[in-house]
Amino acid sequence: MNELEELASPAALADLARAGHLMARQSFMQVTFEVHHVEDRGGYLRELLSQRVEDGRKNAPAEGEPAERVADVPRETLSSAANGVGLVIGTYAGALPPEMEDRRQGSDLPVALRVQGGPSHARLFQGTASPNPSFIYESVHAFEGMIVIGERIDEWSNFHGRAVAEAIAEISAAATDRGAPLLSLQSPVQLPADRDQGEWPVPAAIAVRFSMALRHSGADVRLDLAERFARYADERGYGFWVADSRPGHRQGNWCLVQPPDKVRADQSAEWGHCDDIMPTYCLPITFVGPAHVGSTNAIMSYLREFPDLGVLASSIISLDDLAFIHFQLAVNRLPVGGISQFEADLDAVIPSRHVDDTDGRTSAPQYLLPKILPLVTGSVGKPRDEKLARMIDRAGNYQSLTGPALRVRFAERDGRVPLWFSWQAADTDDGLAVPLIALTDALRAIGLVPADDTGRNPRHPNLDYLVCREVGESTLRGKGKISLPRHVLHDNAEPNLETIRARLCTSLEDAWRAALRRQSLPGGVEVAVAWAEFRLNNWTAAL
Amino acid sequence: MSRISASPQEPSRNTSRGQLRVPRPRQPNGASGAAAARLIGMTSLKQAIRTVPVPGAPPPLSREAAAVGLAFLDMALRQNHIRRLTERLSLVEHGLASRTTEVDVRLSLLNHGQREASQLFQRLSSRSARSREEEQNASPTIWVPVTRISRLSVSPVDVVDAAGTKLPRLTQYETSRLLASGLYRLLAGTLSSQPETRQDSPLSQLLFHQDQARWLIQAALIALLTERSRSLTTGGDDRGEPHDDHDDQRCRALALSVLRDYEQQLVPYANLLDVAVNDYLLVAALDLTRDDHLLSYDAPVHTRTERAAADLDPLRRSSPARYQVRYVARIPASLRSYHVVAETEPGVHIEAMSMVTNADESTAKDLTRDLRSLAERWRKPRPGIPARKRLLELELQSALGRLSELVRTRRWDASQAGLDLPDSTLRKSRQLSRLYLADHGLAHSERDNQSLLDSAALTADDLELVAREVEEQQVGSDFSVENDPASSRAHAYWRRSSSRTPRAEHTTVVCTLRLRDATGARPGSVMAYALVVAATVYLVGCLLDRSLWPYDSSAEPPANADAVVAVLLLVPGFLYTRLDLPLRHTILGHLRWASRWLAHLSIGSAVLAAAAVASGVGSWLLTASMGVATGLPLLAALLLGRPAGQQRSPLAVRLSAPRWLQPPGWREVPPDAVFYSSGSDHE
Repeated sequence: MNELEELASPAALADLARAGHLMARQSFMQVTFEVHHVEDRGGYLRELLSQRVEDGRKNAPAEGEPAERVADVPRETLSSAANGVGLVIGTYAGALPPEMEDRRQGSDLPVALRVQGGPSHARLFQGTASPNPSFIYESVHAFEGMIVIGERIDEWSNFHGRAVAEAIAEISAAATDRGAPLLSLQSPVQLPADRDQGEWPVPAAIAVRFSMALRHSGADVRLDLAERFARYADERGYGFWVADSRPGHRQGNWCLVQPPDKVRADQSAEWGHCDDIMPTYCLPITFVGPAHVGSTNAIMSYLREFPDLGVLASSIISLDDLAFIHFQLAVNRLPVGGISQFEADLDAVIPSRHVDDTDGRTSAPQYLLPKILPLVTGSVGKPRDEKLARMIDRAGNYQSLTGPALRVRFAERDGRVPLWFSWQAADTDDGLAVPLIALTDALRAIGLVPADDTGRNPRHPNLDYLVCREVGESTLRGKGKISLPRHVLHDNAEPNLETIRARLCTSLEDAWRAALRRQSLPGGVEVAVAWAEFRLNNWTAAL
Repeated sequence: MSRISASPQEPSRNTSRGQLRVPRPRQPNGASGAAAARLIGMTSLKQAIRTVPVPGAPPPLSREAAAVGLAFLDMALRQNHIRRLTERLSLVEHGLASRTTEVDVRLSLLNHGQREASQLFQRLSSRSARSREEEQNASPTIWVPVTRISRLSVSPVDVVDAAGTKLPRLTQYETSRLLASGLYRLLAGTLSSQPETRQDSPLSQLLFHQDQARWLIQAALIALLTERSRSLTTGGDDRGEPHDDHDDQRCRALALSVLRDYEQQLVPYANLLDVAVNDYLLVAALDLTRDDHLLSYDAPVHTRTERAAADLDPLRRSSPARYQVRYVARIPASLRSYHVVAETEPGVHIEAMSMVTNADESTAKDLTRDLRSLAERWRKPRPGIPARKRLLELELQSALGRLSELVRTRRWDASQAGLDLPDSTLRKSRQLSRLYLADHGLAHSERDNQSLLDSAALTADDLELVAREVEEQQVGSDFSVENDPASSRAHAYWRRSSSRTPRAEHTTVVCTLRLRDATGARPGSVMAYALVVAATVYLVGCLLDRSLWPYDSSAEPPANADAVVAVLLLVPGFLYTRLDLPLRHTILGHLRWASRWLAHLSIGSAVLAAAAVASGVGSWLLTASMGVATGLPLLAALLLGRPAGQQRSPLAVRLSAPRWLQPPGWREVPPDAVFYSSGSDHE
């Protein structure tokens, strides 16, 4: 089967037409996005969505107003939290918000980036980018794998940051070699739940989970890729898992290919000549641009030209045909003046100084990275010209959203337990906000939210990961993972772990349903809560 | 935007070994093969760019029209609002059928964006001064694509609702302009997302500086989509690009070079353009106050009769009293549910009706490819690959799991039809399915010694054998039969499994119907006629010979030959006119072909006897003629008088069954007529 046939399915072509429709119905053919780099705290996304819903009610158009309206709530969304740093990415289906209208820079350029928040605990970026409507793929041909570098998230050292960067570079290179778009990549992630043991898995480990869409899927291609990653993992003592492709096995079912080898991993760390120190600050950076095959690889190849650079966390995803490539870059060495001096140095070299003016708002990676990477790594580096040229070629029209530098807080390994949830709703403006707000209400209803609800209480449930996407046939699907303090197990009189987690999942799911019954979403919402990803109902399969 | 799909299925355009065999239809109106071929959108666009005049002003394409056009394309391809497609096939006479297509539409299944686009079109096309609210109150309708119609089909289409009221529909010109606007916007959007737009490149020149080159592409798209006649030759694209210094030629060269340079990135766009240039969208206005609508329209049926083949070799027919019809339809693969209802003329019953689709063909194709590559890897292990065995085991289990599912589905298909899988078919596949189901936990197990790779019952050769079996025995084709009692109406249906999202554009459906004479009686009148003719000739013979056995002596020519000839011709001739023989071109006429032949034989025998008498031949020649004229009708009447099976034959349900359901020695009966769908689902 050739590529032309592969991309000719009615669903793929309808997706293409729909992407074109979404683009064409706006006055300019770009997608509005919003990115938040924040200090992680429980309830941030809920507050954001509640605020947006409230704004939406206030700004609701009167009957008879023109159809082109501004969407207040993000449609396709990714939220992740790692190492005490939170990321929220959302895309909007509606027209350009009024406050952005005067930031237009012409039809061939995105609007000038709008940045809110100073060098404190949060920064909000709002902008637009040209989507690539022909970025279509068949998710049935996705190849999903996980490279496990270290099982203890509290063992972070400089080595692990570099190892994660190297692993992401390897994954993106493999995808590019196959001409496959990288659908998603996440680090750190939860390790596969062990079916045989009765333990509740820890919510995160130093691992990279990825998914790429193969255009010519077959046993040969899958085996070639899996063997490449197995060899990579074997050489470094890492573990490697692939998604179980047998019939009846869905996302969350994993097959261990290469068990980790601790001895060899330690040797790799020693050969890497890394200081055994934990980074204290990170610089969040997100690249946004049209989704293309090879853009992540081009950026990663350039980043790897600075061998001391560590990546503490990463989230890569395509939403509404835009690619979002997010890294937490480890700040290896702070200047004498500490973090404030670092911020000042950063502001001095970044052409967009992240104040709300329209000058120089959009910084392409080829202009930004050569300036900030020496600051972050503490070394000059010798990036090769061909790497820069490649980055210009594949990601030259990307925007870079940088900062603020945030303190890293590594979680305690055994401090929390994960809980997975998923929902499916009609593709409306409320398809994300209503179910998520209802979920947080349900958490409160069953007593999992402490009374002093500032979000910074360690006993507060935290949203570690959430993705919400339109999956065709007018349906929004969402899936996510919250982490709960482990004390929920000890507070329970029931000694059997199996029973505790079953009760917890059932009661949360029931409370969630009850909260949703008070809303009126067209078509209703289907929800599920489970202690392991593979136990979620099957409508999460395509995420 | 995320994209989903699930279990693959892909009806192939090829008819290679092991796939559902679909005879190609004869092209309508005697069109030549080249002229009736499907257009390649991008090639046609390039040809249009070469040939349409370079505009001096921007062609009138609007953003709103683009949004509507693309939303219509989305709806027509996704068909999320179509609940069911029913085709009513009326078999009028031999080689002639008519078809009415019914579409169940539910407006509430349209999503917000699609409804918004439909209403936007309503506003765009309205020239009245009424406000939107007034407009909607006055005309609560919504424009919805009902189906796609091949541009090769020239038949006018009236769409009626359940009450028989004709519905307004967009002209193809209006629809095509919307599509042209949408496809230009999509092309521009796709090209704008390329990194070279920020550099001084031909792409940025085209998008931001060379207005005329951009207008040329717009004009080419409008010409390609809105003009009724288009060039159907594909050779023009091979010519070199224009190199003249003339401004026009530079515009053409720039547009063509960008399309060529970004060919890879434009692959999905090219596929969408293929749909737009080959199909019209049938867009009708539906009443917005009701949710469910049942629409119907007549569509032509292309015909190819197989009568000659069957008549030349009557023994190949399953029974002289059976008539077989095949109907080949290509339905949009995204369709959820498809029904075929067949009706026949009075006096003819549908004895059996089967339906075969190639919905699982891509699954079977992927499986055979995987099995072969796994067999090769198993035989030639690559050194130095860690966990090679574990990975191979996983892929092997995955492949055998899919095989097991396919075998189970085929077994259930057979069971539903009241049949068992013949022992001779899918032997190896069933064996490996059992092996898979008897084993194996892999994912978290370290017990490699329990793996399929270590099983003595499985070798790499077995995988090759199964791959061949799946291919040769058409495992990718499903099978279902109609189980209702025989009557003049029958129906069969297919529905897409909810777990599957189709990969191909169409699913090919082959319905086979077996018809029989439903008058129930043996052809008594024709037999009586034959006996009367035989008796008349015999009586004349006896009288001429003055003997009860007039065949053992030499008869003399009668003196009054005219009178004898008159008796021999008038009596059979008069009785022939009283026979109730069906017309030759009707299905009943084909079903009763033996009766017709007996009547013709009888009257021919009488003519033979009359000719012998009239010619005055004597002796043995006259005797022999009288003998033949007596014996032939008798013999034929005896053959015709055999009891005909009125009960449904157990084999009848295997009509055009895929090979996996055919017992050894099964001989497929050639159909008497083959019909092909046209319009919405046929190219």
